[in-house]
Amino acid sequence: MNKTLRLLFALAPAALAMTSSPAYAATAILRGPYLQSATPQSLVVRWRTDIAEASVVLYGPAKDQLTATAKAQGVATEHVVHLSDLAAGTTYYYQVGPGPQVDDKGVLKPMRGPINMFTTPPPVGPPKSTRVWVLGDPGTKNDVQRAVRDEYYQFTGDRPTDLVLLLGDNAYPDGTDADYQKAIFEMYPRTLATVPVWSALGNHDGHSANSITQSGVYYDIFTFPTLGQAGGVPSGTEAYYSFDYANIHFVCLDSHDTDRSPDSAMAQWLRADLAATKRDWIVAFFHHPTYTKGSHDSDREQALVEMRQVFLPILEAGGTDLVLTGHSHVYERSFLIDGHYGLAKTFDAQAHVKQPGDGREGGDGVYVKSRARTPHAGEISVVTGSAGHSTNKPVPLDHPAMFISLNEAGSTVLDIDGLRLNLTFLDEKGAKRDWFSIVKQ
Amino acid sequence: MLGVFVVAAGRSPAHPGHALALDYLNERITTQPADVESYVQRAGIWTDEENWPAAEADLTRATQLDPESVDVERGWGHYALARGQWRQAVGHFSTVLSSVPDDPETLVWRARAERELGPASLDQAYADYSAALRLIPRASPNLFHERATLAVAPERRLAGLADGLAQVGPVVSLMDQAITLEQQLGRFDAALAHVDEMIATAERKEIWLRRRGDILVAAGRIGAARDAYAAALREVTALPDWLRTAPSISVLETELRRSLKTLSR
Repeated sequence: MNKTLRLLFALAPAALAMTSSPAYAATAILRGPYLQSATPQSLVVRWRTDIAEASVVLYGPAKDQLTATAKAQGVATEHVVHLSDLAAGTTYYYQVGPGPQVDDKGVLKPMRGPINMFTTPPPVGPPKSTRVWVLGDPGTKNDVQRAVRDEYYQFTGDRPTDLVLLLGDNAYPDGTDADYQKAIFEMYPRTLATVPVWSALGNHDGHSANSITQSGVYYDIFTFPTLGQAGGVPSGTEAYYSFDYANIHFVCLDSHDTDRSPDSAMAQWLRADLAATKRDWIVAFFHHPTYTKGSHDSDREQALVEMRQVFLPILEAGGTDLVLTGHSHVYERSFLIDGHYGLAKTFDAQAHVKQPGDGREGGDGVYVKSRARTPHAGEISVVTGSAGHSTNKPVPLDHPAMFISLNEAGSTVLDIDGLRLNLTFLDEKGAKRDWFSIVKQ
Repeated sequence: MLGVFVVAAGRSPAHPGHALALDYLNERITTQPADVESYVQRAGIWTDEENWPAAEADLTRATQLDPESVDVERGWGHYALARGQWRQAVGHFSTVLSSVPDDPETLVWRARAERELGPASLDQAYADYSAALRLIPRASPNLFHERATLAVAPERRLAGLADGLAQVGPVVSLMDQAITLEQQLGRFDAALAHVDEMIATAERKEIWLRRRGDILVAAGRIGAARDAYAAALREVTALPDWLRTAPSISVLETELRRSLKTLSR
């Protein structure tokens, strides 16, 4: 008898009191498990089964020590279990299911499914070497998406990914539940079971979701903090929110389906949120890019224009270091810039480039910023909307804010360690096509 | 039918993101020329594009195909709203709501049109927002925010804000309006209660402590105001240098010291 089974028998009295399911043999996990809303002390584990049953997570410090139990009320096919009182920066093993079950013959059955693991975020504030995998517009379900994924796995190897950012358009064409099943849950099961995922709403997700009512597939699938549970100022909505990880403050905006006017609730929240953070780094992510001349044009599309004219000034005034967006199925990366809110033709390198060059060690030199929270000290805008496909049409790729523009499929890897930020764009063949660093002094 | 294609083909989409959707809808209309939904969807794209003739042509065709369709009527409402034809928009959305009274999104759209019609329609706009909010289990704070910006009686706005704060939590846009309104009404304790709620949960408290001081000054409670400013100053001076030297915090520190000096005279 293996250790897990022994443990389950040890838990038998509680299990017997808890549940006895004749549907035991028929139930299957159709989706997940996947991890949401991670904080140093808490985490949400979600999964889907074909038959309604109890929602139980067994977890503990080792595979054979799943001694803690968390469960949700009632029975469901969509399981959402909140784990609390976790230790920061700690690895836990976990298993999901209906809880230990007794079959019709009175035999105790163990939980089905594999034992996975996660590591809780470190304490907020102190630096910790952090790897973030950034996927923009991934959801094509095709070989390109798979190749981009596999090259990242090859690239990161044994180095754990700490969190995943989805920049929207996660599941084409319409962000339906079936689209998500193929494009996300069947595409990244290994990652989803072990790494917390955060997302911004894209326009294709918006075909099946509504931010005003916070309803539809996107809002059904994800659990994001609305009350500042993961750090930051409460937004009151899952459409836009913020969270902290070590010395990084992440801000997610809804560029698709939420009022983008200067006096909107989202704009007021963003100002307050940026003013309130004590983290060293501020990374913003949303779907519609402020600058692009790829498969979309930031001079011509309303959402893009408004994000540039209304929200970019707030982000820059609030000390944002990095702006990650998708929508345009290319990779474009700016210089260290500030203050450009007009059309591309009005970009003036003298006025808007805070620091020119490639931002590379061994090249023109890394970008350097003061650690002091100074408004308009410069940000890098990265459009990385090709995790599922590049564009097959000729595109200008000539926005003057950009240091480099590539019509290539790939994903972005963000590494932050102390006061140094490194970003790498990895294409679908595994080549490092762009990289730069920002160092704060 | 032909007219629609002539208009549609005469202008390529200004928004590249619409090109794919238009390709799809054009093809579907070619193969299913009586598909009302396709015309309504394409009219929505033309409306976004501000290609009014094309939008109107598609909606007209959709109306011919199904004069009773609420989707077509809603499409006309969106078209009128986008063109700034507020009264017509209200009319179209009202027709939809006579068939589907519990459609929260249409209620919101009608409220937005009514808001633009001016003071005489604000009460109705407020009522429509409220009806929509009752129908939405997890309403966005934006709706409460929109409703609270309507220039209706302050008591009514405050009741709506209280409702919003209870539902979505201490969201800054709602809290800010509530504090301002309470202060305008001279209800300083109510304003302070909101501020204290923010202080209790904020990671950085200096801004809210300063606001507490400002309200107390307005209430004539000078000693308590001095305490609030002093607490704010302690928060500021406890910040690490790299945050304390931020221009906005430097200004705040200067202003707090000035206020304390003034109040201690």
